[in-house]
Amino acid sequence: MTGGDSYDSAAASHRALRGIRLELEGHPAVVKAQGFPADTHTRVVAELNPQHLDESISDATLTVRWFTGETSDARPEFSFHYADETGRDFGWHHDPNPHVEGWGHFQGREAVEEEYAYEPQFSSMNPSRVVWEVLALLTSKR
Amino acid sequence: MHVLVATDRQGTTLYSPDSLYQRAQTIREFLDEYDHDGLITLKEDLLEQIETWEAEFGVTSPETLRERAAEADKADQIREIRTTASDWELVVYRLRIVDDAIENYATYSRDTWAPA
Repeated sequence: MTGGDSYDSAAASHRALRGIRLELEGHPAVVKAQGFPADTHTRVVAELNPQHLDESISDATLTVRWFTGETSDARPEFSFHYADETGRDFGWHHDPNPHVEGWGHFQGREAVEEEYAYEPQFSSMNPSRVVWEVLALLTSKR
Repeated sequence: MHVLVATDRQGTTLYSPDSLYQRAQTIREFLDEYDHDGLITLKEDLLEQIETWEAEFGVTSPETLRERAAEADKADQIREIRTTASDWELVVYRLRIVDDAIENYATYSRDTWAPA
């Protein structure tokens, strides 16, 4: 536990991840969402519906990490990262990164051998809103 | 027990499940997924993960690990330490709930399976 008298960063992060899993489960682009890895559940991984994105893709996932911050007034650290069987991977991150100013950014590459390209991004800090915002952006990136 | 609580984050009011309610929901999910032996195996896996971090970073708590981030001089290193520290906190939290589920397994299971 860190921060103020009643703030528990682990409990708050657990709550955020649980909410994100439920939001993902309710989204039409998602087939299934579950805690990941199977024992520790420090992430949520969503199996994406190819019909909703790109029919040429059969195996696509969105992996979410969310830490609410060390104190109740700290900024949350999170990432929503897409990957598929073609080697394409990109994501929306909100954390310190030496390649960009500010915390919110998009980073991606077309194939595993390429370097990441960065572009600044982000607004909402609400886990539920970010889920829907990211899945809307995901469609535009496909 | 309140189902929702309001918190202020940087001027924005967020509504989220009450901690006690959320804890009860998580215990319910554990009982749906694991039997008593399964919970003990899960506890062993979580402890093993914590021991791995302890050995890898030479510290015994996520708070101490986070202090190491201030001493690191490479951005990637700092990022890895911060991420591991937050993962570690989550695993400790999960372990506390698993312990609760194991300790009160008979009572909680009876509550789960009793006819309405």
